[in-house]
Amino acid sequence: MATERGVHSAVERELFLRSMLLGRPLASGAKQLGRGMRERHFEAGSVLYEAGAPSDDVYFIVSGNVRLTAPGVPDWEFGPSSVVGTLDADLERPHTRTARALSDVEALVLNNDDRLEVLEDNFEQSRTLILFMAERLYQLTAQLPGTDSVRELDYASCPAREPLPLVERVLTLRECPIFSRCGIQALVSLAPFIEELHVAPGQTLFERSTTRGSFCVVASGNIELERAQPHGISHFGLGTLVGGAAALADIERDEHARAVSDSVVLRVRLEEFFDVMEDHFDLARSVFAYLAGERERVMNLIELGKTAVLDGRKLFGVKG
Amino acid sequence: MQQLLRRLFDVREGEGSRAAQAAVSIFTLLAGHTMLETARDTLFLQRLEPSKLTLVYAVIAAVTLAASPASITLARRFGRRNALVASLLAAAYGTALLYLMPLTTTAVVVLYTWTGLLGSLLVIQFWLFVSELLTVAQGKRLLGPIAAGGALGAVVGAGASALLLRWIHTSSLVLVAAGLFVGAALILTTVDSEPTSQPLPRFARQAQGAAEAMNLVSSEPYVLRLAGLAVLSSATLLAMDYLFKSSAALTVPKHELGTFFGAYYAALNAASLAMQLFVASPLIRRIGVVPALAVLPALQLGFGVVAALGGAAFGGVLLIKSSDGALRHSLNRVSSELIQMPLDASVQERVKPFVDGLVPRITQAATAGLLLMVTNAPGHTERTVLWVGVGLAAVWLVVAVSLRTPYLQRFRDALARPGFDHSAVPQDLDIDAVEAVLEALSSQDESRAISAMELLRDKGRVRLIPTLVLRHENERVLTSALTILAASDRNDWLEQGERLLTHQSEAVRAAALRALSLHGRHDALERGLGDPSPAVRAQAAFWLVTLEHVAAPLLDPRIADLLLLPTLERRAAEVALLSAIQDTPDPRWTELLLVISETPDARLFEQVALAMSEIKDLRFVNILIPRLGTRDGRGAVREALCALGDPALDALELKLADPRTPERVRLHIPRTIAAFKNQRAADILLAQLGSSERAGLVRYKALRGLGRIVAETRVRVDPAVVDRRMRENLLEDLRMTAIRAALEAGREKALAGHTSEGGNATDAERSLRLVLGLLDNKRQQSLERAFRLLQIRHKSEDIRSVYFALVTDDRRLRAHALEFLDVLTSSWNNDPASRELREMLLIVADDLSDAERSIRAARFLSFRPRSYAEALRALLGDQDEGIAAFAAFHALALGSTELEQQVAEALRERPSLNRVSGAGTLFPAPLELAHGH
Repeated sequence: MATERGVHSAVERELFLRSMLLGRPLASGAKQLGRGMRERHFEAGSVLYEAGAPSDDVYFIVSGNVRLTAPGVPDWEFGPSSVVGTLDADLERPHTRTARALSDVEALVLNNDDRLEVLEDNFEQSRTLILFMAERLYQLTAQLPGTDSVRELDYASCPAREPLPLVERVLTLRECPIFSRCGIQALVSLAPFIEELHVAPGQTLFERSTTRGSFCVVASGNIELERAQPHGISHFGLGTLVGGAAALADIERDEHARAVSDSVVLRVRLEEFFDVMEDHFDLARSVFAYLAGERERVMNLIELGKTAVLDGRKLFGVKG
Repeated sequence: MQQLLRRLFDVREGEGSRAAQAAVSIFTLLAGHTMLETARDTLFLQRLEPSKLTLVYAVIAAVTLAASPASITLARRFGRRNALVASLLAAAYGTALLYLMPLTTTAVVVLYTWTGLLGSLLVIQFWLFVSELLTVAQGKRLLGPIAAGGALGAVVGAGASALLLRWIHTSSLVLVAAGLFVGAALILTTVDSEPTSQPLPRFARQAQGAAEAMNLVSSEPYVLRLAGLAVLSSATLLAMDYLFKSSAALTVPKHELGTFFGAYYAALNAASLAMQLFVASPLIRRIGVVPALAVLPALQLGFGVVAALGGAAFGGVLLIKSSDGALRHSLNRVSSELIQMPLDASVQERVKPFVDGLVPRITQAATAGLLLMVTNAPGHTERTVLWVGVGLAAVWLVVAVSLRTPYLQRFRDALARPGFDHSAVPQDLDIDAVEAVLEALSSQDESRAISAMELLRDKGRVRLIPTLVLRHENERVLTSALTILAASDRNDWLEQGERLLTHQSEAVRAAALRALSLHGRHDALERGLGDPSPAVRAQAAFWLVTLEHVAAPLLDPRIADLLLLPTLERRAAEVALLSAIQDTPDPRWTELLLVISETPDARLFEQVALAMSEIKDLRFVNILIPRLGTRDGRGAVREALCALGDPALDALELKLADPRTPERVRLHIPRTIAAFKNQRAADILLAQLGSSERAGLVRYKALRGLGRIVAETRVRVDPAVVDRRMRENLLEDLRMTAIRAALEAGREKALAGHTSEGGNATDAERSLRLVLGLLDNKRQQSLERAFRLLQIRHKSEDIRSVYFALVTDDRRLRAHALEFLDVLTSSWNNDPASRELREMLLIVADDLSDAERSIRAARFLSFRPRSYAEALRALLGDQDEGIAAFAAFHALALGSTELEQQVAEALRERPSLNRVSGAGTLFPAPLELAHGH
């Protein structure tokens, strides 16, 4: 059972907060975060939250270990310095797992609305968080077993080569899961910054050395992405982000992308993307949700991958 | 008829059947109970002396006390509706058994007690169920009509009893009552009982006794006030009732008493019903729950004083009784139910039987005893009783009025999210805390170790940092330790520090040289000039130039050589120089800052800005402001501008007003102005909210900045200006709502012939989706801005939580938010503008469909589109070019001749609409119209 704690562990809370934000920009953001936090103590075996409960809060684990469980999916364990509950909060859904303290747990609890307010007020922190989450996803996928399996292709016909009208651009972006939770206004603002690429079959979209600084959304056709380590081939069609959520990471990825059929790809430069996001924070919320969903999927795959051979499409979350 | 009822009672979509079912249920229940009462009174008075009634009253109170916990347990275990159904069936069964029993004296006493018990429990259970069924906002509209069902049931029950007694025996009424209880139970089973309240936590579902209700009364001030209200209303009304009856006995001839009471009660019942149907709900909605609760005590007090001044004349007493008869079971009943609605479900379940059942009965018994004493005292007159009543009414009124603040607080509590209790953070570190920090200092985790040192520094306990920390293996820990120790007055670390001058890490060497120099140890500076690291050389050069008081450091070869290094090395040297300037700022370094400030490297400029904030030369202002457009380092640029003070604020104000200022820079000026956190900054931002600023986003940033200044400082903001801006945003929300409602209403007809084929949406459908999406975005923006302004207006309230509650899916929370706003703004009555603003706010916050909301807002809107075409025309002329352009695209996709003409005209008048896409791709160019011209 959870109990409010007093003065003694205030120092621990302070140290935890400082450690968490050390070297990151914006001390004011840390102060704002600290103001909204409540300190909670959970005895070993007690429940932080139950599956089905509203995901209003996120839990910063100061000390102790927490296990997240749900029937039919692998368990997840988190230790000190983890943040628990963000996946559900970002996806704006009730908790899908029950969180139970494996040992005595000291946690700082923050209302998710407050967290988002801080991120909106301190956009640099949002940007850092998005890049960090994407990079982490890229690293996580490296833990997945390799695969050579190739999805059966859908050779969509190539559209005419005139530029897409704005409405088409916005609607294409709208189809993409990364943008599915943001307002139309944000997409209308983003659309003019998009570079439209027409790629012929076999033509390279990007090489291993040119993955930084932008990401691509497929407007039509098919793009094949080959990853060296672990080896995997996946195909991306209408509305998908080539390379999945990890494509948002501003790092050099060991990937090569080429068109399988005549394709139209919308390339978004990361810095312009963040510029628009700074003005339309609902775009950031949508990206957080997308990254959270992807992280959940990859973490489950990592657990499942220990016992099963993965299909290439699962690696990047391609439907089909 | 249905329309009339809807308009009369403001019954909304999906509410009608629920309210009707509840009203019919209470009608049937009370009709049955009134019949039972008629039978029991008749049978009792036929067999027993009236004086025995006092004994029966006591028995009823005891039985009610014993039965209440069982009633609560039943409600918790099986739900409120099921508990009520079960209670009604049990009531029917018990009543039928009593009918079958021989009519002995004991049986009559049992019947009397049973009827009294049912009167308490069933009615309380019914209102508990209704409070679960309705939100507080719905309750304000629907409790009146539902309670009217009960009043009508009592009238019909009494009339039907009189009629039936012509043909059947009195005891047979008992059986009819049992049948009506079964009927009420059956009706209740058809009510959709989806509760508005959150399910109770498991621990709260355990049975609780009356003792806990008492605990709640003593521990929760709000519940105590509710109990006080019950005591005072019961006592006052009983005293006044006694006065009325005794005055009537003195004034009306004995043989006319029956006729008098019959006619008078009939008139009161009719008045009560009329009040219930036509006055209670509208009045509560107009004046609010708490003022409505004060109406009856105010009338009792007012008429009481009038009667007392008139020598307790019968006319005055009649006025007192009339207000009781007309309002007690209508306005007062409904407002009493509403005042309990903010209580948590579990608390309400425990408190209601106590406050509505037991407390009034005990109070009545006590008041009767008191009256007995008063009337038996020598020399008493009717006036004595009247003054007792007047005194009680006065206290009742005070308690009722004083409920406003705690009532508002209940909603605050329900809406608020708990925050961290900062009082728990020790201002000074006690021995335990120090122990914990020192333990963290030796942590292998570098972040934890650094955090511990910074915590000690911030608490003024740098002395506790052991010098051994300078033997740490981690480079970041070492540089942090050197930075912290260098800024302190300690010298015991210097020896350890000198050892670090030969450390393998150049960052550590540079930090050591810097720290030692700050403490006057300059022995290593000459040696530092020969270090392979440009950062170490830069530190050494800086200190040597400083110590030699070189007038123009930029011309000194030791500094000039560093600026000639290859790019990467030069950058490292510049960073070190800038860091040194931050440590010991001196105007002689201004020229160097001006040179380095030309760098395109945003991270390097961040260091320049930090150094500028220390030197504070006014030439920096015009260098810093354009840098606001770059994200990296913006925080440092803001800090530097704030450090430059008023001249920087003047320049920022000018740049904000200058249309030539690049958009990306202007966008970040409001937040920078907000960082000044003073009255003038607040004034500039407030003025910006009302400017003709084209970019809504700049206004939005100004609003956020102003909100932050208001929250963190004691600046004054003109509430009239805030109100004007709030009104604009609310109007915008309502205007967009009206347009959306018109589009939704005409959607089917407009899209006829443009519907999807084979799963592919047509251009018309797709573009409509975008137009609606944009409208929703704009509404959300307007609403959020209006609430940010409301937060500025009510600094001490947590308006943000109210806003979040309003946009949540939880309709109970939404209702709480609406009621909170209603009470909070109840004082906005000074002038028509404030009243209108309040009305608009409540319309926007109310749970209404778009169509209904736009109808209610009609009088505030200069134009309300009546058709799809009118709505699109309104959007074509919208100030927001994005929405105008998409509306134009959609209009063309529909292929209507009339709309195409409008679009052509709009594009001629505003060619900029073509550029919304950024590449002129939204419309075919030149626009070719199939039907135009």
